[in-house]
Amino acid sequence: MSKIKQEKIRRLTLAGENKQPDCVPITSQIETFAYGYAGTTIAEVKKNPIKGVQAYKKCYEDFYFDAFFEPIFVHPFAFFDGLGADSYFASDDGVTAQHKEIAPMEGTEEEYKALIKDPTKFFLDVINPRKFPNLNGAESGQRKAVVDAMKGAGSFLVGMGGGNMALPILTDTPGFMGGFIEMPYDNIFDFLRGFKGSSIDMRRHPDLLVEATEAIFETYTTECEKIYSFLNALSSPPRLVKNAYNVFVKAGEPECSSFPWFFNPTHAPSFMNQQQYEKFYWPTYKKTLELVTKWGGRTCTLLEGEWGPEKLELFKDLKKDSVILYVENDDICAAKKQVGDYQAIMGGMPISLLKSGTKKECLDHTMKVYDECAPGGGFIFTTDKSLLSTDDCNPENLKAVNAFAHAYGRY
Amino acid sequence: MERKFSEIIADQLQGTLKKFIPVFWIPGIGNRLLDRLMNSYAISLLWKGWVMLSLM
Repeated sequence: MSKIKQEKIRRLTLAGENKQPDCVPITSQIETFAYGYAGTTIAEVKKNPIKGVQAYKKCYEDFYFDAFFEPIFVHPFAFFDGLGADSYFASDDGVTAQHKEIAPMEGTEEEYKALIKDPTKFFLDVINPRKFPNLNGAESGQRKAVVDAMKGAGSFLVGMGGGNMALPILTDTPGFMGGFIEMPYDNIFDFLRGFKGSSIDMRRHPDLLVEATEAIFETYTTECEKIYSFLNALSSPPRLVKNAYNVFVKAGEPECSSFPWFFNPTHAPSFMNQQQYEKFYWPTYKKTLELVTKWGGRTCTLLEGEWGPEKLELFKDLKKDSVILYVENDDICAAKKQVGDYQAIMGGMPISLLKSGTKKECLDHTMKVYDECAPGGGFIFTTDKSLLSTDDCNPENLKAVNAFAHAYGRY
Repeated sequence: MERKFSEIIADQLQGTLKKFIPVFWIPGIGNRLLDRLMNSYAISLLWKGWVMLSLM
C-alpha cells in the first residue's frame, strides 16, 4: 500500500474515532456528477461499468479527496431494468440520477400483520410482484426476469468490486463505504408506504408500525448488515474469509474494523416531530447503530434534512465516539458544539454555495467552518449533499475549496 | 395453482445448483444435500440479499 494511501486511511480512521489526525480529512459525495464531469452518461455506464470507474478516477485525479464514497454509482440500475422497474431513472441530461416514490404496500392491518410475521416472505411474495411488472405475469416471464436482473446485478457488482479494488490503486484514495444500512423505519417510509402512507399509519396503526420496525430490525436489518459487512473486510482477505465462515457457515457475527465505515442515509426523521421520532424511529435506529458498534465497526449516518438540537441530543445516549454524524441542513458549527464531544461530525460545504458563490465566498466559508469545527479533531469535511449533476456545483470552486481545505486543515 | 414468487425463485436456484454442481446428481444423497442447503442459513441470507437489492 502506498504511503499516501496509508496516511489517508490513518487520517480518516482517527477523525472517525473523534480523535485528532494530522489534518482534517476530506471525503467525496460526487455520485453521478462524476459521469457528467468525465463526459459519460448513466446509459453508457449501465452498458459498461468500467466507464463509471474511469469517470470516478478522473475526478479523484482532478479534485483533492482523502476518500471516495463509491467507485461507481451506488444504485444497480441494470438490476431494476431486468425486473421492469422504473424506480431509478436518468434525467434528460443523461447524467442526473433520480428516483421516484413507489409505495406498493397497503396500510391495512392484515398487511402489517403479514409483514410482522415474516418480513422476508412478505417482501418476496407481496411487494416484489407489486413493484416489478416483470414479476407479475406468467411463471416463465418471472424466471426470465430473475435471470435478467441477476445479469444486471452481476455487471453492477463487477463494477462495484472492480472499482473498489482499482480506484485505491489508481488514485491513492481509499473508499470510505464499508457497509450500508437502511434503517427499519426508513424501509417502510421509502419503499413500502411512502411519505403519505407512513404519515397516516403513524396515526392509524401506531402499535403495528412500531411492531413492524421491530420485526424488520430483528429478522431483516441485522442480516442485511451482515451481508454488507463484507465491504468492511474487503481490504483484509484473512478477515474476509473468517467473516464468511462465521456468517454463512456458523450463522454468527462478522468482525469489523473502525474504517471503512458503514454508511447510512436517514430519510424520515426531518419530517417527524420529537415525539414521533422517539416512538417510531429512534428505538430501532439506536439498536442498528449499536449492532455495528458491537461488531467493531463505525457508522457514518447522514442526517438528511434538518433535525434540530432535540433529536441530535439523543446521540449522546450511544457509546461515546461510536458514530459519525454527517450533517446536511443543520448548522454544523452548532452541531459540533452540541454533540462534538460525543460523536465525530462530518459535512460543512453547502453545494448551493459551490454552485452560485464566488471562489472567495467558498474559501471564506471553508475557513469559518474549519475554525469552529476542526479544533480537537473529530471533524471530516465534505459537501452537505451529494453532487448528482454537473450543474450542482462549479467544478472550479470545488477544486479550489478542497485544495485550500487540505492545506488549511493541518493540525 | 399459481406459485408464489418465493417458490419460483427457490425452484430456479435449486435447478441452477443442480445443473452446475455434480454432487447434487448423486441419487438419494444429492437431493438430501440440496434440501439441506436450501434450508440453510446461507440461503436464507441470499434471499435477504435479493430483497435488499429489490427494495432499494
